[in-house]
Amino acid sequence: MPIDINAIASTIKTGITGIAQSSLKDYLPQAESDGQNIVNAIKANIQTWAAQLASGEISADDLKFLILSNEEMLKVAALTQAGILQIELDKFKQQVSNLIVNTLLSVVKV
Amino acid sequence: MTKQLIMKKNYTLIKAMRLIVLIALSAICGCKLFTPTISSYDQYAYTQTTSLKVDVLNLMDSAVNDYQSQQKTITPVEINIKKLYEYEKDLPKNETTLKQWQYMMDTSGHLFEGFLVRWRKEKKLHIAFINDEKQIIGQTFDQIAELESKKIKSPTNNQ
Repeated sequence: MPIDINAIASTIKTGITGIAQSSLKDYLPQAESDGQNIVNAIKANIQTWAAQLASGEISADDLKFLILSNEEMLKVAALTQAGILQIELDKFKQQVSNLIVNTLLSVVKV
Repeated sequence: MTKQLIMKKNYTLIKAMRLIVLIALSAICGCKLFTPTISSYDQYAYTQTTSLKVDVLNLMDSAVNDYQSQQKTITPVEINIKKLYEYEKDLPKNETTLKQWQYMMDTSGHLFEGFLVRWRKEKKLHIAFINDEKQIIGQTFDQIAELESKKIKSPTNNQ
């Protein structure tokens, strides 16, 4: 019973392409939507703070603190996105690993 | 060559192929390329994060009062955040979440610990400022919780 290496390689290649397409298809729109939500929140915050400063509800020092606080929140949000990308890559690797194992097992029916 | 001999040869060949496949599978499973790059989901970390969010936002409401008068309320919340950070430190490949907590706990920063430093310095804070800051710190907690919730749930961890 000879093993057709080319057929195995072709099956794995097709499978990996499919997994990659579905993984990124889910991740990119979500990342875009999260980014847009953050931009919208910042816009709304800045408008509110400017009005509060003008009315004397907050001081210039308060405003400075809020801006720096917002900047740090954005750094945490960037870490969330970086982490989610790592998670997506891990899921991709896990699926590729399963694909290879299942393909090899199906060839020799262990 | 007899039929029996051919069958014996084929059987040996199949056994050899199975061995090759098993070696290949072991290599795939043990290969660094396929090991995860980030910690898996942790139910305790997620629950504590969302619970601390509520505690922190409640505590921030007290910043209209004198810092010293609220010391008994402040200390337990600070301790609980430190406890969670220590727990997170022990989880493997958890650097991203740890960096997030470091921003929250940085006394020279402008998130939770930075807010406490300012409160202590100013003694009392304006209600409008407190509410604005609560929104930012609440969003920061949401970001930490979102990352935890999206981590891969392994069959062995506490889901």
